[in-house]
Amino acid sequence: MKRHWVAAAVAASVLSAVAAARPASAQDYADLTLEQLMKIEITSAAKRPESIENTPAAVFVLTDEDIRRMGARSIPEALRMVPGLNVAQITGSSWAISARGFNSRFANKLLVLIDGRTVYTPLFSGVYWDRQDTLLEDVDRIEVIRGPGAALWGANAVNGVINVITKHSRDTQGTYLAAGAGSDDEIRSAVRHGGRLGDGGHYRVYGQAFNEGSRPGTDGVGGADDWRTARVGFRADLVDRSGDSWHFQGGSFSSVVGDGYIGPTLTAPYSERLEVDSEVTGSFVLGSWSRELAADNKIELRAYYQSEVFDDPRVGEERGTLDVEALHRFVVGGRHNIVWGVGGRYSRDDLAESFSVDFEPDSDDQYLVNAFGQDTMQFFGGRVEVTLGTKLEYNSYTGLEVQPNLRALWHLDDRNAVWAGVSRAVRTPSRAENDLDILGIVLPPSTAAGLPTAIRFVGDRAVRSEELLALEAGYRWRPLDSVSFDLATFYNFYDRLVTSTAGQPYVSTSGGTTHVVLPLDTANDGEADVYGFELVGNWQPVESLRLQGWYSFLQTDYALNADPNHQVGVRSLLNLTRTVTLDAAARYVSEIDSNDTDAYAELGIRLAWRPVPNLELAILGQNLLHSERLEFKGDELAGTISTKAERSVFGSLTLKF
Amino acid sequence: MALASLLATGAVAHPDDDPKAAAVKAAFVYNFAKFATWPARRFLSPSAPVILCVRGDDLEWRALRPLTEKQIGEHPVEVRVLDADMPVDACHIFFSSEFVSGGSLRDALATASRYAVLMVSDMPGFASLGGHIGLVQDHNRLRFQVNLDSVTRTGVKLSSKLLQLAEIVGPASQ
Repeated sequence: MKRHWVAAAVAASVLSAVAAARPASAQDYADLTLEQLMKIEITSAAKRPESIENTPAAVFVLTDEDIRRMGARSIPEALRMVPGLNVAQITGSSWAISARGFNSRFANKLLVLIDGRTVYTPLFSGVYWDRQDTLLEDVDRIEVIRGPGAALWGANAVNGVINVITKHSRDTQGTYLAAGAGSDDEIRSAVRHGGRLGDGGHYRVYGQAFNEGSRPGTDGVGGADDWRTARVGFRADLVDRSGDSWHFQGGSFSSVVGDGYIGPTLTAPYSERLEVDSEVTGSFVLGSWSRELAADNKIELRAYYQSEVFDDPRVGEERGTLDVEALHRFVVGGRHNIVWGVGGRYSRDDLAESFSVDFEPDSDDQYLVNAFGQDTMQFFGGRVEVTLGTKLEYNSYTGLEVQPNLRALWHLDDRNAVWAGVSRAVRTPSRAENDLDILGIVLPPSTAAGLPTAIRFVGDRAVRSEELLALEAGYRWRPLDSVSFDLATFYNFYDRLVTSTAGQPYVSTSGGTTHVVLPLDTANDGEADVYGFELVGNWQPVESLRLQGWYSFLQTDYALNADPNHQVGVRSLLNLTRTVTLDAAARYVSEIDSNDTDAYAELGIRLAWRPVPNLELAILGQNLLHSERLEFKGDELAGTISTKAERSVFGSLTLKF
Repeated sequence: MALASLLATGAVAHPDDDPKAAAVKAAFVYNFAKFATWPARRFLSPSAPVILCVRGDDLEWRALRPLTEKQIGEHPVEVRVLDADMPVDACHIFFSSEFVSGGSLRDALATASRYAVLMVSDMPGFASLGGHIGLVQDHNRLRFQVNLDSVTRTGVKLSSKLLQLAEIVGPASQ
């Protein structure tokens, strides 16, 4: 007999309610009329409302329809639609993405997962966004939690968790072809084929490739940030004779990523403009097995291995990561929904040094083991749910880290719910913070007879984890079936933030040139308070029109803050006729003083025509309000020359059969 | 890592993995059967069963099974699980999440018309593609589309009560 591992139930049980504790049967619904059936809320594909309304956290879900109708071509682009995220593009292939503060190209407080595979790099505890991609057509949804998720996900889930979930291979049967072209030499193509695999199994294989031309550089010279990627992958879902579910996926990519940057030199003029084409390749395989031991009692094992090779004149990196995890979910006494699990990860790197970058040691491994447990309890007939859990994680840099959280949700009635939570989360130090020695910039001599000063960032093995204590509260209100609001507020106390402070200068003759070295020593001397709120409103005035608006506010005393205080987003999804859709997204981002970027408003519009159900022609206009616009400046130590977003047009054709 | 599946919001990998959705869909199928009238030749006797069929690898079959205790008029309800290659001609109503569009859907519909089998699916655009009744998820609720032209060809009659609630698609609506 065939069984399904109900990931949903796990999930629902974890942060949200315990719908799964009461198994649903057709018997419960068969006596309802069609009218009543049409009013029942189900938690699946577009499963926002019910699940979100039951989650005591600031959660937002982008559905496959959202992604498709906004014409998103990359995961970062899709994330622009998420309320409260700060998504800023630095160059064609580099992004700064964070939630609730601390944004930078090397933002390090966000955990990003693709089908359960952690894709942030231990190198700098951040995400190489140019390497994270999949066929977006195959993405079922992207779930985003703002705020800590560390009790479940562990270290690095400090300011938020982004979880990209792809469709079951059963939902991607048949053949899909897509091609598109647009401004700046942008060309894209994708193909996917799905079929059946034996008795009850399904698979899909896909391939895609794109090229993006360069964008104008902020230094007046044309950018060098053109890049291209080819990617292939597969997914298979099977059920064996004993009813166990198996899931496999894998993929490989190869990219050539252009970048222009200012590199330091020890002789006049003490810097040079350089252009590089880095080569990046990566592969992964993931497998999972799950069994339903009894009703409401499931066990799952999952393992993956991923490797990446980055060939770049500044820093070459080879890395392999193996991750294994087991989890078990069950219900006790009808009201306790328990999830617990154990996991481990091992990552080994081999880093190549260059004139300006050195890691000591060149090769190292990082590991962690963890255990977590969480109980979601129901009171007052399910109207109040309390979640208590913690993660214990032991890592090779800082040892044991304890990350508990307590959350509660109260359904005031069918249309109102309030929630609150208190959590502790840590961000474990990165390999760079431990072992990096990088020559950032060289200051020219102040007098003719003086020496140049080289500013070096120097890591320290004594660096400890950054800590967060987060207080959160939220309110959800659905005044009408067609109108809903979601308010989330937070006050975050950060301690032991990793800082770079000027150390003792000394004279060096390395590189054959006498110069002064000003080391920036790594320590945990930072503290910050960050507070703010995010408000999302949804309105569906008629069936053919969906409107969404959001506003997020953030305030902090953190000196290096590179986040706007105000962000506004508005989206409209309109079915003009049965075959034509017209969708628009506008956003406003206030200025970022420390990053020296101005406030801006921007608009994108997409018009799509589906003359027959399996063919779509679409045209997408982006950055319509500006011919050129700087969005975010890259890190000065890394020397990145930021490039500007340009007004652009992209046309596409998709075919399914 | 991971715990992707733990992600808050009901990280459901697939609608079919959601027992509640499956149960609601099964209830829809049962309701469609209640509001349908088959040609008399489809019942050997007044107390012959109404046969609800589902493909073996859809979760819905587990949700449908409890319906065997039901009765539609004089007819008891029988639920059958069909393997991929088994013919649908014994069924009165047939639910499947997947008909690969093109060949297999056309063949299935031709068979359905010949034997007066009502085909129901939640695959996207099912009714528009010529299927009989399509379940459509709209946000977090289900509604249904009826392709009257296709249904008429089977000889099965749907009550006006059902049609009032349906979105009519296909040639007859244009």
